[in-house]
Amino acid sequence: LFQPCQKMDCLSLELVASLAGHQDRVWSVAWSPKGDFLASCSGDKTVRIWTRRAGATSPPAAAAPSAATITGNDSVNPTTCAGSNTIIGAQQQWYCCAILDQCHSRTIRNIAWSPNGKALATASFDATVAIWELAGSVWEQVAELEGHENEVKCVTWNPDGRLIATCGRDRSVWIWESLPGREFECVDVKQGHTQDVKAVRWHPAGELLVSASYDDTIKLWNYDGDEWVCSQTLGGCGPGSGHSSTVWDVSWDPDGQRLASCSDDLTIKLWESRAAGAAPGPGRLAVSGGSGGYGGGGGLVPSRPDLRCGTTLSGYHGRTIFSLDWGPTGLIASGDGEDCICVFGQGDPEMARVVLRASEEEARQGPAGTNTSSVSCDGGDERRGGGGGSGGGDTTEVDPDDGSGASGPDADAGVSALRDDGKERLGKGSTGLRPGQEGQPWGLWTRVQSAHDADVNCVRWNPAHPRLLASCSDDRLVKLWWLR
Amino acid sequence: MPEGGDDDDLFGQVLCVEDASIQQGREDGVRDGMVAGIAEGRELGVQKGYEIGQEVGFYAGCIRTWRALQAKEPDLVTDRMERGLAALEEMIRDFPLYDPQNESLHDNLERLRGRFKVVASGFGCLQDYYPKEAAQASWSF
Repeated sequence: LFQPCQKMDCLSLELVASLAGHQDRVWSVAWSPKGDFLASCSGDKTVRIWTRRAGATSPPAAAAPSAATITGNDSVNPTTCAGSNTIIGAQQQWYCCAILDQCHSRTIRNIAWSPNGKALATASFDATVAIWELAGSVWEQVAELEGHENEVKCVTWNPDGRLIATCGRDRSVWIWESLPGREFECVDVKQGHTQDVKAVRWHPAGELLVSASYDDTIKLWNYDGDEWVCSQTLGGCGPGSGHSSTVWDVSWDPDGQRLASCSDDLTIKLWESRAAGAAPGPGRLAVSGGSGGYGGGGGLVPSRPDLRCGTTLSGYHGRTIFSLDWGPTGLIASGDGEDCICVFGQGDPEMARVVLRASEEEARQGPAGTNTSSVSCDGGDERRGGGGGSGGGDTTEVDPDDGSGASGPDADAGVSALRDDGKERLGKGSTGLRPGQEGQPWGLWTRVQSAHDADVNCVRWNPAHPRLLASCSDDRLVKLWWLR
Repeated sequence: MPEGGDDDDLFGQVLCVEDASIQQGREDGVRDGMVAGIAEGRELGVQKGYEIGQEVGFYAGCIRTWRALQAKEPDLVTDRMERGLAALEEMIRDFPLYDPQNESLHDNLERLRGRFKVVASGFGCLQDYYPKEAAQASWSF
């Protein structure tokens, strides 16, 4: 049944950290825009924020843990404020630096960071969405969005931070506008789907919203000046071959030209503009360029989507594919109900390995301004931050790629790369590390069987460290993986 | 199927009895089915019509109330909400309430529902349309 993974020993996902702490299944993970924090949300009605402890010579972590927000055995944690002497060489451990709780009365199903990284939105089965802001070092709830009739399944901020889209079991998609003074106003409610809406995601240019539903369709929404209208429906009884079952997740490629979707029908579909056709290299524009850059050169015009299914990846998953993410590297990661995580790429994985090695070399040679593959994480068995999680104790020790062991400057470089290059990388956007080859056929490049002990609910690539992948599962764990 | 030969006349009739019965049965079935179908259709139509009418009427009533409140306190309604209210009024005015065969009826109802939720959310009345419950809308401004 399964298509074999091409040359599976080329690339692999190596477990770097296994973060325990949540008391119930973890539904979603979300990286902060700079990639320095990971938020996870769970059936235990809390959100946990995870970050990496830096070496002592580095600048202080962006969010020093606050006593008010940390529960459990966190008093055991050495502090990581500036000037701390907790050095563990160049090893960097992940730990839970904040817990957001006592807000929702039911499972928190999804979380989203605002584009400036200063706010978080949480979507809950209790039919509300809460907005949190970081005040100093404490997360506080500042607003609540009510309106959905029942479970809210997904929340997402648009690229300029003005709008929030939510969707839920009541089959509707809500669009909210953020007003001054932490006020939010409902702008529109779309009832187009005939069943539970599982996911909503904005196009990187912001003018286009995508929703995926239990009714097997994907809908694209645009603003016509007065209200949001459905400008295209993919699947269902519309034209083109859509999914034949629930669509669980959607993701845009780094250039905003193609859309990937995954489904209960065991396939991943890649949608592209009819106009794109065989156009070589659709406009590769920096994500940070704002809405003006997209659509150049015969590609997708976000305000007038005309997608059709270009590629279907089938035979790689044996169970429902719950989540997928198209990373800045152009690779697609997916998580399924068989506890596996897959990574798909275009072209030859051997060549991809060469490209990855080259970038590692580059990193080894010069710290500043290079890509961040020199920043590698040691497996940390996460036992802090609220009650012994049941293990997940993979202490995989990954040697830093730069082979520098415990040397200070490299740790420095690593961390400053984390902070500065993170920004640079965002600026470069889609012109960064691209191991795949455009226009080539897709293939499965690596699969981790039993990545978790239960369904993998969400997979997300780090926006600043494009080889770092986060995943979460019904097994209550959040895991971090490094692509090598 | 018997060949229509002269010498089969006697047997022809006998052999045709089955076909004749089937034909008769079919006609009876269609006739009775039509009657039952129409009755069932009417029942469903009445029920659905009632539901749709009740929902649209509910929204119309809400708008009337909000307008009355607005007359007393003009500051209650922001520009955006005014636009929403006006749009709702227009949608209700144009709603093909007496044209059940109208293809866009269902879509219009959905748009109406969505727009109502936006306006209701703006007013802070999040009472969903549940006709069975006596909606206790709390008017908090």
